[in-house]
Amino acid sequence: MIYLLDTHTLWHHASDGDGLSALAAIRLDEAGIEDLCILDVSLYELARHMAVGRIEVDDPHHALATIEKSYPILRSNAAIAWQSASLDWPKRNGRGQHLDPADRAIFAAAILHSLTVVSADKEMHAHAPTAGVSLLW
Amino acid sequence: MATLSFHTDPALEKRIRSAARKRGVPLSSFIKETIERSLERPHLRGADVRGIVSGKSRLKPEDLALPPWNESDPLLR
Repeated sequence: MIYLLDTHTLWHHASDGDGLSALAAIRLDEAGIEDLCILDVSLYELARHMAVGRIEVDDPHHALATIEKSYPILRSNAAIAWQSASLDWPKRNGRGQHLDPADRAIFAAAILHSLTVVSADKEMHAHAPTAGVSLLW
Repeated sequence: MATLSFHTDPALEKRIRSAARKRGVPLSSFIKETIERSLERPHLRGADVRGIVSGKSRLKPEDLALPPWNESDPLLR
């Protein structure tokens, strides 16, 4: 089983914060490093959070570079892009589609590569059974 | 390295040859380098990189946490 870390999961793990569920923390800690991966869009998401001050670090570029060097990175490609754009992902409240580009890309990658997504995201949990995505939290 | 097919199944052989091509080194050098590095480095787990940006990790940020060749890399499938 290969775990694909959602962006918030990545940050909680990389910063050793207390935001991981007990189960996710155990599974991620026990997994071999080659059984973990992140999607490259998560670096963009983290960078954005750092740039607007939602995540405070002394040296954002160094923090991002450290994460890039430490976690296996799955690179986006045409297949992931098209799968992401093609997803039928209704919001939980039924008002239109869930359009978060990073969430869609992560789900698309999980579908294409049979990865288990590690996330607390409620939209993901609601849609995972329909999409056939394995989810852990 | 024509004997590679004697030691692997066709799928793994293809992945090894593909990875060597990507690295731009001869197959024999790639295999030697990969094995040498994997023997030098203890198997890393997620716990080893947890806290890598907060200074709480067992690894220093300067350490390379990735193995030289990721067997489970979905891109190699």
